[in-house]
Amino acid sequence: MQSAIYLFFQVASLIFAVSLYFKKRDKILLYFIPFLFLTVGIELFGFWSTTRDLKNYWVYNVFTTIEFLFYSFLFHLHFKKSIFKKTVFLFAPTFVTIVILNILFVQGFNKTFNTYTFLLGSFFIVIFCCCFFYESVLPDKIDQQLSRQPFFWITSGLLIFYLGSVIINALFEYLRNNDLQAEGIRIYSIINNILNVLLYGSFCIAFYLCPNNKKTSSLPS
Amino acid sequence: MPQQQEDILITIVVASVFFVLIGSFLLLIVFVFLRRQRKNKQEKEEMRNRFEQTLLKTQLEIQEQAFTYISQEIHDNIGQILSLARLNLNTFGEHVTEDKINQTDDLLGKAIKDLRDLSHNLQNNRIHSIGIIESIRQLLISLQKTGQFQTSFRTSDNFHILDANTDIIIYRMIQEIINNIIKHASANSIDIDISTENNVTSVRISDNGVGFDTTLINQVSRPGIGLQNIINRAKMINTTVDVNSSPGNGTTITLHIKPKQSNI
Repeated sequence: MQSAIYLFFQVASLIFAVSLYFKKRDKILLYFIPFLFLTVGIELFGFWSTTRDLKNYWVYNVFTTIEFLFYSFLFHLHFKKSIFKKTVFLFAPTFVTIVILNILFVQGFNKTFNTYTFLLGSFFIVIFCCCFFYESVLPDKIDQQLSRQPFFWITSGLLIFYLGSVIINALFEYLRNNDLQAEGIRIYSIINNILNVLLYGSFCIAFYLCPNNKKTSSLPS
Repeated sequence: MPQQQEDILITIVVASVFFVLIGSFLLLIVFVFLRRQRKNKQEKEEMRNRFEQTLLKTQLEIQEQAFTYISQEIHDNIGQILSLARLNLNTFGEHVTEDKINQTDDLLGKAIKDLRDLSHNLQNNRIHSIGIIESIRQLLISLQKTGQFQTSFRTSDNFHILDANTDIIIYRMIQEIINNIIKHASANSIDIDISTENNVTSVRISDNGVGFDTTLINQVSRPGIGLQNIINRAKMINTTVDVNSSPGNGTTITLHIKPKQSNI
């Protein structure tokens, strides 16, 4: 039951995003709804396949690639400096190439969780988060209150999530292969749950802070 | 579970928590930095507003002083001359002596000259157009004309002009110091010396009046001395005021004007 807490938060943030989209019609919500649908779908499939002892690495290997590309796309939208935009623009095809090479020659498609590309993606997401914070402290952005910006909460969630999960994901295979499976899975589950709660909690705050772009019209009396 | 494996798991947990803490610390730094920057910016804006208010007040005071001087000049000087000229005209009979005509002509000529001098004082932004040095010189000339004061004015060749707004405030400070001398010092000599050294311009105004005990400057119970006003203005333009005086030995006030800071 404990392992399903993050799933509950993912579903909750999806419902929250959908309900707010009808009220606000904001772009961030629009981008997040299909992504969260996919996330919940993947997690449900993962949950189901685990109960049936099916190997589901390939699903997560594909999904994490999509996930990193999605977050990179969001950073590309929000960056103001062209050098950061260019970095994200270059990162996406390079990352996909490395993922394909890793699948073909190193870690395989469904043999194991692709930790190398996960670590590379995490590293770049953390870098992008730092770039966003750097842009936020530049003089022309001082007047804007950071805690009122939706993307600040998304970035904060991502930074905490990827910094926190990097060790456990990097050592995922090690834990599996070294008689640490029972304890390892328990710790993996606790850390993952806490980080997911923080991540999807900060997404929910970001959705709540999205500006209202819904056009309203009133009939002349 | 063997000790070694337990250690590995503990290390993983500690490292994960450590990384999360690093992330949180980074966020905290960004927050604190932004808050401090915003506060700094607000303080700068408040400072700029205060400077602009002081500048406006100073301009109004200079204008008021000019109007007071003009009204006194018209009443006490030009008015008297014209009255005298009119009296002379009234004494004109059938035969007017050339001496009398010349005397009346001289009076009218003096009235015209004094009016011309006055018109200069009416020009707006006079300090902007003639500069602070010429303004101070004319201020001293008008003092000298009263016959109550001997004045001297020295300025160094390497004196470099400040910006226009600072000039106005400096000029008003000098005006206030001179007002204080006129009102309280019982002096008959006023000297102004301007020099520049290491980018710091010093304006020294000294008199040979009764002087005063400088320890009284900071006493709240004696606010009327006018010096506090000068010190407050000085702070706005990165200037320090040095007061040197003792009873019976005259007063020397020196304004040390440092290069302007970029925040105003």
